[in-house]
Amino acid sequence: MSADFSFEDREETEVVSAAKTGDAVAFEELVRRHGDKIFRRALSMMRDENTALDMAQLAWIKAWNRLSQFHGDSSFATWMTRVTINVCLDHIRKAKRWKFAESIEEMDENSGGVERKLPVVETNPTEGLEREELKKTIDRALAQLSEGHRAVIVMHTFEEMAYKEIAESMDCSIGTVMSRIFYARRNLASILKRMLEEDSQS
Amino acid sequence: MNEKLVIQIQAYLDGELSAEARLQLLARLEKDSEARELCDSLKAEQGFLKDVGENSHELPVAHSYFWKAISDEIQPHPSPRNETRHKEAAVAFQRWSAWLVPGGVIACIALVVFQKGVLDDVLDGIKSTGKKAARVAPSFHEIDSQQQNAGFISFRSESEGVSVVWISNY
Repeated sequence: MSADFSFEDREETEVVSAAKTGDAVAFEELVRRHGDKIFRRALSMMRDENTALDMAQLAWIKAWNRLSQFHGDSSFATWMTRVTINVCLDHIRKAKRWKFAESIEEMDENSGGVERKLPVVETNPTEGLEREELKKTIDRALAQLSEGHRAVIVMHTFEEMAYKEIAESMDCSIGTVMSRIFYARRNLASILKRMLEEDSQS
Repeated sequence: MNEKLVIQIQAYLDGELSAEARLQLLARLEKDSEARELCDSLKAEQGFLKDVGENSHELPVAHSYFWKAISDEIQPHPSPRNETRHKEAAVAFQRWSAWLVPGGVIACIALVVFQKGVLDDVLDGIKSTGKKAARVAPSFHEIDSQQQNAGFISFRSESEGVSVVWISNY
């Protein structure tokens, strides 16, 4: 049926419904529509193009196998992004590459306190930059964060996931999520400030 | 500043505080100028990240290439290993079926011999009850096979003393 049937002009819900019945042509159309976004999300989590490509493909394969679990409570893109994030987190977990402090208490013990380790950035460190330049600077700063901190920034700031949802994805408590978000933001602000100072000196 | 308060402010800005905790924090912010400054600073940072958004990245490979890897997984083609297995199974079946036809023929002959013996016994019985006169013995009998699946028909000519077996090959 679908061999000579194009989904290009179809509504998303129709395409998703067809894909749920096992129509690979419909599923390919979903990959075509959201391929860039899903790759971008995988890249923001993994920071390596080849790994991100693998993760994005794996996410699509998982999504195909779990399409029956998509009930339309959110948009397909949102659901697909969650699948991608979880695939990336699984990969990171398996690689045992969590390198960030698990809690504020741990950070305190290791560094002698929040304030000394991560000074609050009082002013906007990226003031004066053009929007596109800002995006690139943020991108470079994100790349310098640990995977754990980057993951919470992506999930919370860019995907607007609630603490509870992040906690479920990261398999930790809400309290841990709160502290991770806090440190991730502090870290990001510090990195941005440092980068801009270096840029201005050069 | 107390870390617990900092994280409370962050949760407040993220809309994650309970109504009660929110009221308590707002009361604190009214009194504590340092906490209020930190709140404004965090708010600016959060807004900034959301406003600027992410750098745009596109798939570094062609869609067809990207899709191929996915397609191969969700619609798997027969792997060379599976093909080998199928070939081996076909060869094994051919070897086994080579014995099927001769075996079937032997079984059919055995069946005919057995049926002939039964038929002779029946005819002998008819003779002995004196009903032979009432019956005209046919020059030959067609013996319908009861084994439809065996695929054979046999003829028995009493006058000629010959049995013919027709074996269907299907």
